[in-house]
Amino acid sequence: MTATFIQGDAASCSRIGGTMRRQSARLRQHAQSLDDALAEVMAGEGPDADVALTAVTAITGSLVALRATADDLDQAGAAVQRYATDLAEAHELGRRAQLRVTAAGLLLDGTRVVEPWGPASANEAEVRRAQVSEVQARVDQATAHVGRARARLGREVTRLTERLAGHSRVKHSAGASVLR
Amino acid sequence: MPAEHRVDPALFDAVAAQLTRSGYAVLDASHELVAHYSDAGHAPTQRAVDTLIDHAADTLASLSDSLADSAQELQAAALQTGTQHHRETNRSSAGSRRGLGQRS
Repeated sequence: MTATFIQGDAASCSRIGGTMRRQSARLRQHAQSLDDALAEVMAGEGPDADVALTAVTAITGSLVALRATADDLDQAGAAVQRYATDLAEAHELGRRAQLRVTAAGLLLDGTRVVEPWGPASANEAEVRRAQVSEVQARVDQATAHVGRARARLGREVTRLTERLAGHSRVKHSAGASVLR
Repeated sequence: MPAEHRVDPALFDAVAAQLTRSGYAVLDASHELVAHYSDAGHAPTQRAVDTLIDHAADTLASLSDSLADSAQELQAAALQTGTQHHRETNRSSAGSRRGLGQRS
């Protein structure tokens, strides 16, 4: 039984988070290779040193942006993976709450635990009614868990989106490189 | 006087090749990001995640362009340095020949 009141697919969130982190690691490797290649150019002296320095200056900007983007991608991937874990936990809490709802002979209206319509003995109705608040607390626990996770992810995503947009703006405004 | 350590134009070519490889890798990363589908299960969260992915893909695409531009410029610099080397080598060997001629 899956909890119908907790939406979302933890596996797909985990996959995209993993992709971001894998790409981040790949970008860092490229940044390191560029760094090594530049170090050799920097070691040069003599009449070509000016050309070398200009080249290095131009590439350094891209290298800084490459590293910063890799860092942001890693943080974004980590945030999405954390959300995927929280979502999976919320699904499990929701599944247990749903079982409890059914076992208590109650129904869910969205995330609200309600008593079913129809004839019931006074005793049966009283037993159900007595369980409503406890079962509702279980449902609330699952929805609060996923709610907190969404808020946390929202804050992280907003921060990282601004940073990524910032890197993009810097690269666009840089326009022509120093070499020109 | 110690021999001058000159920057080998082949080094510029090597860096340019690395820049090109990095540019392609960054572009691949951009394409892979937007190819993924995720279901956050909540419309505002989904929009936030989608916006993040779009910005990340745009940033990577723009970074890829900038790496490709740097590679081209570096290749031009390598060509310029190589030509200069060639001219200086010719001049110096012509000078040696003249020097040898004077001595004989």
